Amino acid sequence: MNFNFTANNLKGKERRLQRFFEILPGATSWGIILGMSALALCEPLIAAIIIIAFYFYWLLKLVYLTAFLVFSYLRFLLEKDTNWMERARGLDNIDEYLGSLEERTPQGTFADRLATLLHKKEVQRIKTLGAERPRTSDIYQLVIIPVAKEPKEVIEPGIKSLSEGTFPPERIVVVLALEERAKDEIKKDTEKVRKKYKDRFFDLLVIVHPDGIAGEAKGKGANASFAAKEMAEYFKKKNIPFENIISSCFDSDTVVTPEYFASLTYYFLATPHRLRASFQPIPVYNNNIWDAPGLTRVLEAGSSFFQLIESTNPQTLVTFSSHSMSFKALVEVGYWPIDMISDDSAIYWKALVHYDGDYRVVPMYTTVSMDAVVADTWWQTIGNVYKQRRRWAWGVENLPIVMRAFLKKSRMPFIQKIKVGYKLFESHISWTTWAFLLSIVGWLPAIFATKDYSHTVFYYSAPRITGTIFHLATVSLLISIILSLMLLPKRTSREPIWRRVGYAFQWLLMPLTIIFLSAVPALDAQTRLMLGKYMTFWVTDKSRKAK
Amino acid sequence: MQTLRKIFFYAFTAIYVVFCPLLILYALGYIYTPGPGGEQLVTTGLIYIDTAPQGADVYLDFKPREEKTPLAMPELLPGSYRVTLKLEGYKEWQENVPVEAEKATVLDKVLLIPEKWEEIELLKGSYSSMIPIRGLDFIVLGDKGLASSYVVYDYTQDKSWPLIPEKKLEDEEKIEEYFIQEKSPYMLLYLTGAEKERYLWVNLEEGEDEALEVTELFPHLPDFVQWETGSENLLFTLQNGYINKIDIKEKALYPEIIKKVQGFGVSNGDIYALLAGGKFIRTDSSGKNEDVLLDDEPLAHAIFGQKTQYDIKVFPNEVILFFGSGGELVTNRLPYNFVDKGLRGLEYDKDKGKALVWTKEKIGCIDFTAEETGKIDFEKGPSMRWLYTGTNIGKSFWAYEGSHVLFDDDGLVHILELEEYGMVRVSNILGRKTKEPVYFSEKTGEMYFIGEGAEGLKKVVIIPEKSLFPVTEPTFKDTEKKGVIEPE
Repeated sequence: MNFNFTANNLKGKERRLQRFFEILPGATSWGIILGMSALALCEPLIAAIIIIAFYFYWLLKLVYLTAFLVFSYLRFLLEKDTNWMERARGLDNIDEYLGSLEERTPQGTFADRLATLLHKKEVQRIKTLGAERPRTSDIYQLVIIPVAKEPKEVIEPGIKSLSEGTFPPERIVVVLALEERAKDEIKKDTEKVRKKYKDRFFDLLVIVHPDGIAGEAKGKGANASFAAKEMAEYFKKKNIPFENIISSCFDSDTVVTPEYFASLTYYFLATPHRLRASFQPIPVYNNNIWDAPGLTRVLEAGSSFFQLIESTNPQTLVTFSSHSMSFKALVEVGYWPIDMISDDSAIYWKALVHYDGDYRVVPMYTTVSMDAVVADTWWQTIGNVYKQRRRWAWGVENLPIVMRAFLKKSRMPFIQKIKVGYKLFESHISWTTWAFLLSIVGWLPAIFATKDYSHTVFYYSAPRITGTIFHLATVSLLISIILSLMLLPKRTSREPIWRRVGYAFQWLLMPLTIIFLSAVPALDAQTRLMLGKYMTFWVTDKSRKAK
Repeated sequence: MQTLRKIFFYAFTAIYVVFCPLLILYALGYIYTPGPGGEQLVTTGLIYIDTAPQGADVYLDFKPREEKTPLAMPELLPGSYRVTLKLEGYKEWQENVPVEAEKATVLDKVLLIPEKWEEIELLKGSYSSMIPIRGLDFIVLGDKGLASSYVVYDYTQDKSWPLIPEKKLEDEEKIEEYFIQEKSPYMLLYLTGAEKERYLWVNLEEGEDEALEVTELFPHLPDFVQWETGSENLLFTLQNGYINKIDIKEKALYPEIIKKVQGFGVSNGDIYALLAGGKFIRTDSSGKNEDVLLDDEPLAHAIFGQKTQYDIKVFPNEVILFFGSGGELVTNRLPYNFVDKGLRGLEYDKDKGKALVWTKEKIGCIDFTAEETGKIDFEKGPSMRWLYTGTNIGKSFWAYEGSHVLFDDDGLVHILELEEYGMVRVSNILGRKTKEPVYFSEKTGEMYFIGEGAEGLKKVVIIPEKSLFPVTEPTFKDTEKKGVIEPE
């Protein structure tokens, strides 16, 4: 579908439609929060009934999500020691490879055997589909890393990790997409990194993104798109077919595991219609996790969990943070949006609209590690986390554009439009409202109980029911604590045991964290969009303590 | 994984669709139970009981419950239940309690009466008069009006200090008259000595040592004096039908700022004055910017009379009480005149919107929050409910958040349980006569009084401390037997 994926330069009906869908999420969230508060004061019994119904829904959803968090984590564990390069190369001669898999005698732990079994089934499925695929040796990786104000110590570990993977670095092209407005020391740092690592890759380029190009927002997307356009010319000159290039846009602090690109190559080759798919790893924030304050750690773990859970449902999975996709698709859809802040998710929506719904995100059971937000002081860190979450929540800017696209004639099935539109809308509304309903609004009927309400059976039954619901919910919290402890990186220094114990207890701050560093920034973002006070890009401060 | 996700989704949706309505129905009081005609859906009610002190054994229709107070007894069929509460050292409490479908019958202020009230000595000394400062933790104690004998006692800190600093005292001075205001730490004293009379403005707080001589501001002993907490520099006096304004700080007297006054009160910086001509006005603190609230001479004369002087109290939600010098009680709500004569005192509970009033022989309650039924064509206002008939009622107090009334009658102190479901219950606290009125503090839940023979200040704990702010979670168990409990 030919649709200009932008909120800018709209006129007439399009502009009005855009504003309507910009107002809708904020108005709905405020309507729910204030409406329920008002109802709790005026008609506490009706409010309490709605709240109990909501609490029960929340409990079931929590159990549901926790179950899939566990499933997803187990799946992640199964693939932990996988030799992805072997798997990818196996697909080059699939009959032979399948034969070798079938001949292989089951050995190792139960997990190893289960992983082998699942893989065997997958290879059989790939063989049955019989789709053509390029050979592993034909695949090139393009890694674009936007740089604005990140110093060498933030960029270098990521570049180093790219060069040390099992995927041959000589088929990796790394682009440091440098903002022209970056400070001189950052530019010097980038150049130092380029010189140091250039020979390890197919190429390592620094592409400077000029400042002030008309129509661009000051954001990562504009920078990455400019670099990608330059690279399109580069690959044409090198006669490398776009369909054989997997492009990844990484945050500058992204550190990949040695198996990451091998794994990405395997997923790419194993995916039918691979040119209509993005590939999403699980983001973890382990680079500096022990330097981050407790609140940040809990939130970052929550973000990782969210992606783990979402990975079990590819139908509604959306790209987030560092992700990959076919370079051919990237070029066809017109690169990342240049006038949006939420470029990481916007590229998925843009592709979905462009291909009339024939686009999906393939979950990868492998991690990319990034920096947790850490600033000089605790308050600065909290302030930065707030801004970062608000920027993430600004992903709501996609809603009006996507809805406008859906309302246009397209070949995308109506049911898919409804499903996708609802999921996009609901996810943003629940992000802002649930924490308020659970932590504040839910208690209002009891706090401001009228005499009539306080003399009902419901007034006395409700606390017991909510108490039971919250007790059951703590089981989910306990599972989350255990999984978060298991996801933590191995201790590089002698971390005392109490720090890990303390980390577990930090989960008890969840109600506060979720309100002030998740729901409030999300409501802030939606309110800004509702009022037409559009956000500009703010680069998260990321720093690491000197080792 | 996607198939598993679908299975989970449909299973959880089914659970929600089925169990959510059931959960809400159960919370509303609906249960499914065996009945005479087979299994049926019935609507139940609940009784909630909390006692002071907590931990009493509960009997429902004479059958013991496993739980102790506080507790909620759900799944009760509509009807009447006999509730009995027993606690060692306390008198047994019994009541027939009605239960309605979907409703909770709330008995959350049950005060268990001890077998014997324990008197605790607080302050030794020979005291014959006691002046409690309402809203603060002070009681002023003295003996036979002798100024030097007066002390301020803080009953929360258990500390006392002289009312008038020693350096300000003069020989043989007596306190002839005093004026106080609720929540204000100041007291205006009219003292007479061997040679002269004088007025002192005294700060009651510990360590203040503030006793300002303000005699020149009071040419005569005023009939009424009023001031507002937080604006203690400004006093308003009523003298021979005139309101005078006194600025303590500036030591200035502004005479006759409002004339021909039948009564007045001060609230939120405004003066409310009932004028002899039948007008009721509100002015600023200078007696200017008049706002007429009533200008109907025949009506004013009918409800206020022409000679009675009124002390006017203005409360939130615009309730105004006029306490007449002949014991009249008039309000700005229909039917205006609540007590024609003989009113001895009144206490207004701002939170509950209820006034407690008493004459020599009766204690009554006016509920200003009572809603109109809407069934009567005539406008209906609050009504007086007489609670108790005695012989010589001295002083009454709201107690335990308006659920009880503590009063002395003919020198004997009683507590009366205001309870909606049956007879008013009265229990004796002090079994002997007291000379001075007692004082009850809602904050501490304690009653203070001067001991027999004026030998010092004593107290009796009326409401155990824990129950003032309940911290114990109510026990809430389902009926142990299968099905519901039916009334016998």
